[in-house]
Amino acid sequence: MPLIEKQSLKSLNKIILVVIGLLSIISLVMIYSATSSSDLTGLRYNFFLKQLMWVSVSIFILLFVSQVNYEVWIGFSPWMYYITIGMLLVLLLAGKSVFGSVRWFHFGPFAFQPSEFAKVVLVLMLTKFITENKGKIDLTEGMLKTSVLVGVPMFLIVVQPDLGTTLIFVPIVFFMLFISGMKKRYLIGTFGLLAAVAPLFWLVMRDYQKKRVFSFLNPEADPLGSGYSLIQSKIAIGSGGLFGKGLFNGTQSQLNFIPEHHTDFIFSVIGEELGFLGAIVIIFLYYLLIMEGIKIAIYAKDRTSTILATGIIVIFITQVFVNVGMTLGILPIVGVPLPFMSYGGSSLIFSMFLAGILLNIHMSIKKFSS
Amino acid sequence: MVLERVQNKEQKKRFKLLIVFASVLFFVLFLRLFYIQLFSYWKYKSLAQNNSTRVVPKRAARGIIFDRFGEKIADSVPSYTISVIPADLKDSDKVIKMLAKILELNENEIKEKIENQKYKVFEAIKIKGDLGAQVISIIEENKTELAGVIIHTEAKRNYPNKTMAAHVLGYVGEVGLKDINNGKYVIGDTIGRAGVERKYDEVLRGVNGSTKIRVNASGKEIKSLGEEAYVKGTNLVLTIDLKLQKICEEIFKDRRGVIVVMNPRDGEIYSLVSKPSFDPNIFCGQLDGKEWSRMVNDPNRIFLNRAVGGLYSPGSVFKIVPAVVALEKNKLTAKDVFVCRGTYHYGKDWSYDCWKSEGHGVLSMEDAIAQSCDIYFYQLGLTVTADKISEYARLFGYGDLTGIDLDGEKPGLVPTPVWKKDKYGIHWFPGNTIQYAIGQGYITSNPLQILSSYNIIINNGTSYKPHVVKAIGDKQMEKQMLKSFAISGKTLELIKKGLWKAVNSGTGAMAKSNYSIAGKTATVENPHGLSHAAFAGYAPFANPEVSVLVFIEAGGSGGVNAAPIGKAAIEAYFKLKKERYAANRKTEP
Repeated sequence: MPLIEKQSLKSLNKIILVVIGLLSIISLVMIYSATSSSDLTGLRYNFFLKQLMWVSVSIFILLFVSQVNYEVWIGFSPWMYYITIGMLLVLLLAGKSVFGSVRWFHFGPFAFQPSEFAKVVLVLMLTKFITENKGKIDLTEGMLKTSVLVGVPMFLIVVQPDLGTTLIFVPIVFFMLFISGMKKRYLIGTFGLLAAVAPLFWLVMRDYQKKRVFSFLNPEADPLGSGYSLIQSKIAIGSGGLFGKGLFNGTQSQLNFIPEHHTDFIFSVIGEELGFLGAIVIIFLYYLLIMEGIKIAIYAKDRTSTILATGIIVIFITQVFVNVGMTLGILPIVGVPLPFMSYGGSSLIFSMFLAGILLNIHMSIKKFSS
Repeated sequence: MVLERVQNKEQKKRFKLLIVFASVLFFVLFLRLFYIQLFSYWKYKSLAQNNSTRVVPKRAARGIIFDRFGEKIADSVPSYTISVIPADLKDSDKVIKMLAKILELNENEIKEKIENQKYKVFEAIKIKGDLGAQVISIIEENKTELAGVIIHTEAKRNYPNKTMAAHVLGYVGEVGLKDINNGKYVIGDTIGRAGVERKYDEVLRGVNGSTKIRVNASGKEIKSLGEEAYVKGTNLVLTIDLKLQKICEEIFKDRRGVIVVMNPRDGEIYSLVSKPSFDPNIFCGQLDGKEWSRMVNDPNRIFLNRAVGGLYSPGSVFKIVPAVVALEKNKLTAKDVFVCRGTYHYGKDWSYDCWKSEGHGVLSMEDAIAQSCDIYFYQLGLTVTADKISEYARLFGYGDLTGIDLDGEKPGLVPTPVWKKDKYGIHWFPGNTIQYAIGQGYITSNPLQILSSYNIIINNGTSYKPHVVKAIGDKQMEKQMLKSFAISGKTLELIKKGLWKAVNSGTGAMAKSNYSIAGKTATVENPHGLSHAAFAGYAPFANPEVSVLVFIEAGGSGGVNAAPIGKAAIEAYFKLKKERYAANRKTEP
């Protein structure tokens, strides 16, 4: 039996495939444009070629994952969970001295971000946990266990410190519990408590994080310092107007006024070069993807897949909102990439992996109903 | 709708909430995009443009200054300038510190300049100009660390003839921070600070242009966005004859004082020497504070244009004024004589000497002028009274500015008995009149006033405003009347005869020349030392076309020391005229 049957490829969700295909193509074009004037241009540093490779690899992953029963991943999830915790611990204890960073593992030319991995693993692990503890999860004991399960990786990431990724966990966990049918009073109680203790975060926040929050509240206070990225990104998008300045013509992007313009700020380049029309097309594609995802969650054949699909969808919703919101100056700067769009292998691979699971859940509905 | 598939009512509500959650967030993004990209488009568009656009002022080159025959006296040469663009100073403290070290400036000096222009952060601010290749190469080497610092070339004022005619040209300097606040100038602009450069600054300065460049986020120039060319300053043609000026400066050597050679018929100044002098080039670039204070405090007062700003007693050259008064007011006639025995006694207690101690004997006015007899003029003065001398002194132009187009002119003083009473509370004594009649005592004048008073005799009662600019661009300057009053022909004839005799057989004999020079010498009492030597003259006697004044501080005898210089200047004028005439004839077919 071949790994991927022709028949099952045909039954893949067309909307998700088309949206991801379009986003990948636009991503490659925008990365090519954003880095074309870079001082680092040259074969060795060719971002476009590198990303092209990642797109190819990750599309293969997408198709592969779509053919693997999602329950396999749920089965693996405890292992992956402990591996993730282990990696985060290694990073925390030896990251800077061994890998030169507290967020990334560097292996030669490749870099890998465990906190990306953690998001995926947490969704799988939480799905397993909720499914296995059906009926018990409402109890205080269940709540406590959930908190520990979610809290440990969150803590390890927040001390990296990567507040952005940590905060994205909150809506994911909330909606997974919510859709799983958790009683409202527990949800409200838990998340209310979380909201109440949130200001305590201020105490553990590093100076640069506080600075980001301050500069978000008033970027003009220090336009060349901490408010720089926010202002420059807004200027880039605003100056794009209705039709944009055209590819390769964005002064903000091409002259490096936008920092990280091929990674976290890729949407600024889109806004500047493709204008309002280009930007809403992108936003619409994401919306399409998410609505299709919600549809899959609703149609899903069992509770497990519904919860899993919900977690995946909320990852996409929050990532898109936090990233685009940041470039538009309505959220502070957090290092969250735009799924399928930002330059970088690990983000892309995990997004494709999640989309692959969605496809598989979708496929299982068809099999189930037929 | 999809939701209808969900049977559980509560679950339906929960999915609904998820959809609403996603939709609201996306709608927020949509609204924000709409607001930024469509509603605030123009604002962000201009911000984006400013972001990457830098303006480097292209300072207008000052107009060239020519002499009357088209020789360049002042032009411009390119020089290196270092400027700073505040918006690109990412690490301003570090960069300013480094820049201060390289340019040998005070850090605060640089900060002050940047602070002064804080509302134009995208425009280059000149920090230092006239930099050598060595400094520029140091900056080039450290370019990566000096983000926001740019090197460009600018026109720098240049005076190829160094000190020559320095007091006519004046000098330029960088505009002070105080002048900038009135909005007319920007930091780094050059303005005229003295002489023609100052008086005609508006004309010479032109209109600055600018270059717009596109830079990247590190302030690195990516490309030029075109430039607005500057409008070069208007050229000036001076009345100065550079060759004559050169000769005059040479014959004056290192004396202190003045030579002015001019055309009495229209007021054009051919040559104006004021010594000691300075090299205006030193102000074009960077001048260090020590050198500047040394020059300013120089007891020789090198920046003083003595021809207009030096006040002296005119001495015997003044005698023509009381002489005209006596004749015009019919106090004396040509035939009236006084006796000079070397000493004049007034009352019992007062006696006044003539410069010639053995006396001149019996003298008419003509001889008194020729011999510059003091005792004749003591008695003449007492006859005409001080008030009348003052009245005519003013008519001759004493006590008033000549209005020459140079800065620093001082009017001097024409005293009267009323003035003395007001000022000192004591009466005017006859002794004051006696001194006044020979141009001593309270009267002071600048050398140009003296020369103007001789022009009045030459022009039979009229003088023209002395000026050094002949044309602004293509526009020729018109001659302007300075003073004019009626003097009878008989009076003029007598005075002129006296002046002729003075040079040909009197005190000014050393100025006697084939070019038929007439004139008057003066040996002016100097309370600080050796007498000042002066000579006022003109030629040719019958139809004067040039008049000259020589004034040598502590120069000794006017006849011995000033008259020969006056003669040399006049002869140089005629020789140059002859040479040019001959050259013209050769070139014409």
